[in-house]
Amino acid sequence: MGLTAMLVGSISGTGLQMMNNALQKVPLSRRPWLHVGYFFLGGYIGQRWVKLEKELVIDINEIRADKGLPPMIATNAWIKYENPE
Amino acid sequence: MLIFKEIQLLPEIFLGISIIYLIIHGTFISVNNKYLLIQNSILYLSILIIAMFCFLLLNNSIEYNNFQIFNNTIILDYLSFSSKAWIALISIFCFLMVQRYLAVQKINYFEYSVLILFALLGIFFICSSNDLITAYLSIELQSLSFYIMAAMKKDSAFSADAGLKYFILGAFSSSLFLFGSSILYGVSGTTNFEDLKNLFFLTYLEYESIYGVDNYSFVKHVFIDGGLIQFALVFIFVSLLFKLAVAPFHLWSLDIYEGSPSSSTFFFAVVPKLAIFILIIRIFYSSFFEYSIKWRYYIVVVAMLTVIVGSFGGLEQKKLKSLLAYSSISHMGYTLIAFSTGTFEGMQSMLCYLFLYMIAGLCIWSIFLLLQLKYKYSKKQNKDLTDLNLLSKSNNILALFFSTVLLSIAGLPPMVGFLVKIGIFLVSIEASMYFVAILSILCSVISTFYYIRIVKIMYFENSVAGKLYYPIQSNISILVVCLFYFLLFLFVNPTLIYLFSYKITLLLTMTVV
Repeated sequence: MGLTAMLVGSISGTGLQMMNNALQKVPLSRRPWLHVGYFFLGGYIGQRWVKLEKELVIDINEIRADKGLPPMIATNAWIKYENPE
Repeated sequence: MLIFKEIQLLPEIFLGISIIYLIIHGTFISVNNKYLLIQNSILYLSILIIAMFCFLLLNNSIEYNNFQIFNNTIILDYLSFSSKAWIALISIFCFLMVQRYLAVQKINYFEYSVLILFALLGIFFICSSNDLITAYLSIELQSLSFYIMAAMKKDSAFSADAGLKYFILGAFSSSLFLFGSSILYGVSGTTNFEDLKNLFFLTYLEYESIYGVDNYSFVKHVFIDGGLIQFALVFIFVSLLFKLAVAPFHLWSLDIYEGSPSSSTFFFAVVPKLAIFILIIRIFYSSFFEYSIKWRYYIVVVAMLTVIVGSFGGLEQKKLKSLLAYSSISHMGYTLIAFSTGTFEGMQSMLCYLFLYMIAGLCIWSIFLLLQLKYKYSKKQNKDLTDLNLLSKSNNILALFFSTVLLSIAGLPPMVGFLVKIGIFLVSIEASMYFVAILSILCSVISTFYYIRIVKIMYFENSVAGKLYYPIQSNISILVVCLFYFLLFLFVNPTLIYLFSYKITLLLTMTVV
């Protein structure tokens, strides 16, 4: 999941710079160091995004547990939801 | 312990001190004529200050703890924390986007950035206010800055006119807020939201046991039937609706959006809406939840009227700014529909809608500021719709971005706007508000027309003569691309926004869902 997110983020980052060049009506490969920079930045953001989602799910389940509610349905859907009961 | 508790307000304290520093800094530099572009240096400092504010805010360990400080007049909870963080992030984008516009329009006053910071300080205090007086003062701090920002273009009569109109109508709405608050204070003896919540959370039997059977009829009239309280709440509600530019209190917004400099309109349209909604949540959802059956009717009526006015009003508009003003009005209507359900899901949908409305608004207004006409029209800020007819030929990618964002806020399926809009329709159906749901869907279809009309002007009008646009600078265009990409990405993966709003709503609700 983390690897996929990183990959999607990295490709998106590079795509972002290409779109930026297209918006400025310059060749898509102009300022290639920015493509590289956004590639790594995108990868980092992708990983952080997934991490943030997981942290939020954990937080929400803690709050729900405080209120006497079961964990959210589809929590960790990729891994499968395990009913505590 | 006391100092420790109040240190939680450090971000706002830092912002306040920084504003004072900026005023002194700007005053000393502005007397020296060497610094011609003082606006730029102060603007960058302002961005730095907001970034530092974000840093301090995110490092505050508020999470589940509700801090009530300064005699319970200010509350620091997850709702205020998250809304402040979101507003600060959005305002950094706003600052970056208006920079070029201010230079082109020659609004070279350092006070402009300082005023925006003052408005932001007011907005942050609105998010944290836990008392009617604090809320009033915060609204005033924000509004007074906005009045001046509206009239900031000194050489334009329209700008001065907009500022004056905004001031008069804003003062009127503030007076309504004060009037409602005074009635509420007269009835209850308190202006604190927490006290009001405790006071009106009692049941019939508890009232009887506290006040005795003899006084019961009076108590029933005042507290339970809530004649006076409803009267006060209506005034407060109307005042807040004025600030949100919701129908039938929306007419000021058209003139002010038109007359103000676009950079100011940008702020009016995007930044303060969330804070006002937070205040509405605190007053109506938290403190007066017991009266929800009563206030829901008012809100539903106003929301429907707003959606209808926003949808039909935009059809006849020739100017892009007026059209965006009507679009903003109709979006506030949809948000109010979600709020009027009074349910958990309604609150979540409302927050989702507001977060995405802010991103979409930011994107649209950023593109609007980027569109700089060539030659003699270069300074023209109030664009006609027909000015866009050569945009697709002048800058095809920008036209594509603009069309996509417009279709997103119209609520067409492959965009994130569709997800949040359908969420609102679903929660209104779940709350058995079928008529409201059907009417709002119909109005949504109608309002799609004026968004599609812009797309039609951009792509399908066979005009040979039109106005061309200047190429876009690299440092600004990346921001627009980021926003556009974010809107696209959120359709594919909106989980984070939904989880975020779910967490806020979960912490907000007292009752078990």
